[in-house]
This record gives sequence, structure tokens and C-alpha cells, in this order.
Amino acid sequence: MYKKIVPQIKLETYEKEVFEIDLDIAKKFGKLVPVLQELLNDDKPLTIKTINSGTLKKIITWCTYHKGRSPPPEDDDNRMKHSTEEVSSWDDKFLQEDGQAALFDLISAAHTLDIDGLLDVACKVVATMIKGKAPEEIRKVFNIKNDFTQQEEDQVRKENDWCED
Amino acid sequence: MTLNGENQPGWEDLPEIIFEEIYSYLSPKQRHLASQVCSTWYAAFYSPRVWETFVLEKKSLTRRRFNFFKGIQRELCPRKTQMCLYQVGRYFKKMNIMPSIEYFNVYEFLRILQAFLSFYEDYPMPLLKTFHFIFACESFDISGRQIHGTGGKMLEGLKSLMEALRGVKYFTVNQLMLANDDLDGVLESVSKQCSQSIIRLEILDFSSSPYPLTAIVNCFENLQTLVLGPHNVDDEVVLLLAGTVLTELQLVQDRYTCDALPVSADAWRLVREMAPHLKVSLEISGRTKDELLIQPHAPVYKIVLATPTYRITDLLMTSVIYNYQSTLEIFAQKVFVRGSRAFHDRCDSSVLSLVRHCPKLHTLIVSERMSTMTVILLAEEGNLENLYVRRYALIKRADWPRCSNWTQEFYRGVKYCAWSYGRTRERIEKIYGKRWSFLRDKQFCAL
Repeated sequence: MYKKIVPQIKLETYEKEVFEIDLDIAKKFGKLVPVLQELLNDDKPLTIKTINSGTLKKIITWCTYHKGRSPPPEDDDNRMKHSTEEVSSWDDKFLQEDGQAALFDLISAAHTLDIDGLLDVACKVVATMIKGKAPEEIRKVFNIKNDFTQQEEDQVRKENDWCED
Repeated sequence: MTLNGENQPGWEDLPEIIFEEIYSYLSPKQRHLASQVCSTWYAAFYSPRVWETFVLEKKSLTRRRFNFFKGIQRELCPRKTQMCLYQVGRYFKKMNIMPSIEYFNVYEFLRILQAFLSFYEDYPMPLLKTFHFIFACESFDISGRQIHGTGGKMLEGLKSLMEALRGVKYFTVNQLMLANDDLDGVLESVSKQCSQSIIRLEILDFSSSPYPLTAIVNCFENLQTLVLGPHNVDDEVVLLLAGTVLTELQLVQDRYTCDALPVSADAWRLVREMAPHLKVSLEISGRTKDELLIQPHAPVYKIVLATPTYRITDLLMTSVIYNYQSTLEIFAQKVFVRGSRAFHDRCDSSVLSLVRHCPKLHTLIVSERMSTMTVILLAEEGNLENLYVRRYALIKRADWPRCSNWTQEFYRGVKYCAWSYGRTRERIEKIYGKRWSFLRDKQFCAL
């Protein structure tokens, strides 16, 4: 028996670790696909400095899990509803299990690699995390520094108080 | 390990496009709270994409007010409304005014929006291309369910708002249920500034009694899709429409649609000759007890049944086949319908004969109970490209007698496959040469 040869591409991460990824998984990488296909016969890996190994591993896991699953058709009605309920429990757990810092890395990486499906669910998860929280709580959850002065903060709150109940 | 150290990028440095995406999943109130987090999150609040869709719901832009008779009420706050329009109104692409029985709030919103649109020299909502308004024509009170149309002040407000709108492409005003006296001039208001721009117009349950809307033809020049109830068209209307650029006419019946007569077969025949590009679709939706109104020999390409009480009957299928066999492309039963298990009570044979007789039919969606054998036979017919059936509505049965033009081998093969869901699926995958599966109910709803 001989092994079926699967075309693979090589990606180098921030830590200079090289990953070999099957091409059919890399097909999820929207805009990058033509670039990757050109590199297919190259031995030199494509270096992406902004992504670390842990994140890339997670991305490969996500892409593998979703390989056979096509994204739900996005029509006008779907976009209009804009609900955050349709995140599957697998995705939800997968994205939240490593804390907010890892989620942030994942979003940035998904943006760099142009993985629409992952970006979508990740944004939905973030939106769910924001829901029902006061600004101070949001800062705490996402570890964000408040760069407003007291005066600015009051001004911002007043400016759009039409949103309040 | 992560890169998120002291000088590394953090949640405040996300690309704008991601912020927009996150914000678009939040309600205005939550967006406002998030905008107070830090300056980049604040800037994201004003991203145009965040405000593409504006939905006026029951509680939007309201304040609490104590009313001596009714207790605490939510009343539309004019200041909030004006602020909202002033701050983000220029980004609106879609506006959705949901049905609400707080008629005063809806009226106030229409009035303020109209004043806002007319106040500036430059039109303040240049991006607005989609406008939806649905009137809550049904309410409950001591005497039970009440159905009433708009009229009076509300209609006046709506008319003057519609006259102020410009450049809208997709226009929906549903369930107005107008009395015949009020019908004059409403379409003219819609088309006042938008007669060139509107390409899709939806006016379901426009009138409460049969009333042919001949005015449509003169009001809109570039109309491509028209959605309305069958009681608003007659021979004259369809013939006039055949002379326009209209390509799709959707006739939709729902629970508010009054009884109507179909357009005559002669008129449809003329329409087919005059406008070969015009396609008709028939739809019945909502909790109505009515039957689908068959338009004799109309160029119907699509039939949608979305009524939970409406089952596929032999009678329906016979008239569908008789009238539309040369044109029908899509047949969809969208809502779950309960059916009996016995073969003679099920729709299997009528669905199969539909597929056999309509050579153009490429998409079939059936939610009713059928047997696995029927599904295989449907796929074997060969003209269907998309076949959707519910996994939970399928029963594992080979209950067809052998048909005279099937070989013994074929019949045995089909029967053998029908005795297992897995083999049924495999056989259909083989016929289509692609992945195919029964749909779980959730997937079915998403269709």
C-alpha cells in the first residue's frame, strides 16, 4: 500500500515553528488561497510573524472540524436577524476555553488569514460576552485600559443617551 | 502562550472591520455601553456599517411614562428619536418599522422621521435603499381578536413620510388593509419621489376587500418584482403589467387576505404571449384556512406552501400539474405539517406524479411524511437538482407496488435500499454524484 499524497503548505509562526497544513484545510483561508497555491511546490515556508504557534494550532483544529461543514447560506433575512444565538456549542466552548487573550489572538489571526467562518463565530462570541455588561465590567473582562478623562467619559455617555432605556 | 504582553496589541487595537462586525450583533443600548469603554471602542460606535439596519421595535426610542389608567407606559421620546436620526441616521441603509399596537408611538415616529427628512436641504439619508413598514392590523381586546386597517391620522402620517422618502429601491408596506375610500392616492404617495428608483414593491393585504390596483402600472417605471395579494389583481392589472418591465409577480395569500377570484385563463394566456419574461409565483402563508388560489394557466414557476394546516392533496397536485406542468420550476412546502402514516393518506403518490409531469421542476422541498422508497423514486426521476426532505418525517418503508415499466432488478434494488436510511442516502448520493442527506428540522427551518 502506498500513502495518498496530500498537497501541503508550510506556514512559519512567530516562534519560527513550521506547520504543514493540508491544502483542503487551507482552502478556508479566503484571500490567501491563491498565494498559498503558488507556494505549494516551494520548500520555503510562508512566514506569518503575527501568529503564534498556539493560535495556529487552534486554527487548524477549527478548520479540520469544520472541513465538511459548509457555512449556512447567508441571505438578506439572515443578516437582518443578526442574532448571536446560532453559535454552536462546540464553537462556543472551543473559542472561550482559553480565556480572552487567546480569543483575541484567534480573531487577529482569523483576520490575517481571512477565515470568514471563524471570524463570524468569534465576533458573535465576543458580542455575547459584551451583552448585559456595564463599561467597567467590559474593561475588566477584556483587560482594557480606560483612556477617557472623567469629563470625556461623561460627554460620551451623554452624547448618545438616546440609546438608553 | 499569547502575544498579549504590555506593549502588544490588545482589544483596543482590533481592526475597524472587526469592531463593526461585533457591534452589529449588539443592540443600540449595548453599543452605547460598549462605546464608553475606551476611545477606540467609542470611535467604532460611529462606523457606518454598524448602523446599516435600523429596526423600530416596541421599546425603541421610548421613555417610561406613568398613565393614570394604564400604569407605566412606554411612550416614544421625541428627543431620543431626533438624536438618533441626527447622530446615525445618515448611515441607515435599511429601515424596518415593525408592527406594534402602540399606534401613537408608530405615528409619532413617522411624523418625526418625515420632519427630519424634509428639514435639510441635502437629503439626510442618502444610503437608505430598503424601507419596510408593517402595520399591526390585528389586536386583542375584551371583545376578542380585532382586525382593522389603517386610516385617519396614521395613514396621513404614513403618506407624508412616503412622499418624503427618496431613492428607495426595495419598498414594503404590508397589512395596511385599507378601506376602499382610503385607497386613492396611497400608491401615488409611494411613487412621489421613488417612481424611478423602486425595483421591488411589496404591498401585501393592501386593501381589505377586492380592489384591482390598476394605478401600479402608471406609478412605477422600473419595477421588476411585485408582491401582493391575489385580491389586488384582475385581468386588466395583469395585462397592463405584462406591458411593463416587470419580471416577477408574486401572489401571496395569508390570513388577512380576503376571498378573491382568480385572473381568467384567457388573460394569462395573453400575458404569456405579451411578456414571455414575466414569471409568477404563488404562495400561501400564515395560519389561514384558505386553499391555494390557482390562477388558471398562469406562467407559474414557483409554488410555496407555508401554512401549518395545509397538506398536499391529490386535488391540489392535479390542478397544479394541469395548469403549470410546462412552467413549474420550484415547489416548496416550508412549514412542518403533520400527516398520517398510511400510504393512501400520504402525499407520496401526488408528489411523485408532480415530479413526473413537470419536466422543468428542479427544486422540491417537502416537509410532510413520505416513505424512503418515495424519496428514492423522486431522485430516480432525474430532473430534480435539489431535493430536500426532513429526516424525522421519513418512514422506512418500501410501500410502492411494482410499476409495469420497472425491471424486476430495479424494483428489488429500490426496495432493498428503502429498508435502510443509510442505503437510501447512499443510493441518492450515487444518483446525484454529490453529497446528499436528509435534513434535520433545524436545517430544514434554515432553508
